[in-house]
Amino acid sequence: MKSDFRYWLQKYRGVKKLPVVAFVEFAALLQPKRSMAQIMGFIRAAGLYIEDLGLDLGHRAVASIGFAQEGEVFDWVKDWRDHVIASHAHTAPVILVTDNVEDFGFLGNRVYSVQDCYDRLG
Amino acid sequence: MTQPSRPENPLLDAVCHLIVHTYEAKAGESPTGFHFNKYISLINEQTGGPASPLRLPHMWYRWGDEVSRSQVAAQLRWDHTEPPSARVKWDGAPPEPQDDDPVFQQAKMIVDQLNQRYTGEEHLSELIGKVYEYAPFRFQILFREVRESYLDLKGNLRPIEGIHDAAIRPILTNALDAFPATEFPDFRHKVPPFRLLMNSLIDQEHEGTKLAIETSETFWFAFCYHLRLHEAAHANIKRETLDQWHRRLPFDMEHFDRAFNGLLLEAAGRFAGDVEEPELRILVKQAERQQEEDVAILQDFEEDLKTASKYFQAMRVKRRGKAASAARR
Repeated sequence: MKSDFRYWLQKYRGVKKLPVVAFVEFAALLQPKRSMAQIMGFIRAAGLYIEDLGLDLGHRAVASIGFAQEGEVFDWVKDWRDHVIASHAHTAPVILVTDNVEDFGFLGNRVYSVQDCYDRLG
Repeated sequence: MTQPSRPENPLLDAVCHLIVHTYEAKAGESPTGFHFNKYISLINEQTGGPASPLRLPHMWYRWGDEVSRSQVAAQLRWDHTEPPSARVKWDGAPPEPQDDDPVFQQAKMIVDQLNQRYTGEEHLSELIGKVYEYAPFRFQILFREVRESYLDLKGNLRPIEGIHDAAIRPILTNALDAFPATEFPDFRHKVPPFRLLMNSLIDQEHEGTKLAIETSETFWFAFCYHLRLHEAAHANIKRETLDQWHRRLPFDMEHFDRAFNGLLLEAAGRFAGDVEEPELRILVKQAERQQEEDVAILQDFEEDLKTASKYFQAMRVKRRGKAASAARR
């Protein structure tokens, strides 16, 4: 996360979801230096809601992976995680915000960089 | 590939398909989420309501009586999360016919009548009103007037001085006075601060409109997290869905609290000089303190975020390298 994006997140009043897979990566990286209580404090301060995958999103992720595998090189270590994360932005107007826009190109105009957030969401 | 319709409710599947198919035939386009929800709500109500053989899974939520999308035919496709912006399509083979079922025949008659008058946008408000007639709480009907009044004002090209005080304030007061506090004990304490902020924004007339609309919608959306959980406001919803709504409620309300604080601070920033109303001043001070605490926590994670950023960047480079090697093999 770019360092000043956290302040933008804190001020942004729309719904801000953190996919549970991304939360696990983030929290695992910060431990053991940070306790879970501190990490959850950060999540709350940024106004984020950790969204479970759940069965409906799971179905969408499976469908999305199915499409991706047609005629493409599919990396089961990396790409399945990207599709699972992207399933949280399955329906408009939900957008995915990432530093890594190119790996989520399959979301079309619903993947934003941090700069896109500043420019388009204020 | 579309999964076949779940067999548990073939009558409901058939009615869903009927709505989409006949609306498309009449209007030349798919029904909006509004149209779909209102049609199926009215069919449900007119075929027995809670006793209807449709066993419609539905709840009262942000846009009136809404169907629980995860519990109806898998072939129904919504292209937007919000009903006003969504178009609803049927994707796949038609469901099993139910022409012998008298409830289906009744649904056909109702849909024909609805399509005669309500396809398109012209009578949409009337259609919504028909459904709100059986809303479980009078507050919902009255607050709808607040929301619609603001929609009407948004369309004004020129501000009309005094219109907010004359038109919006009485409707807002009426709605909030009718808030069913005993039915929503965990939410009722949110009403007074909301009333205070809205009144101060109404005082600003046209200049306060944008923030007033956002404040009103934020409050309404937060209330609806509680509304859909009320026994009188849902039917045929799966236990696991209700449990999920319960589990996320504290997070939804934390989000509301922070959004509301942000609205308070932005409103306070617009007043010339200090906030006059003492209770509002207290709320603004509390919001400032919360924001300071949040910013301090975020600042404290400076080094952690730099480390995380470097790690994820390195992992991406490594994975791209692996993917490129795999592609070459």
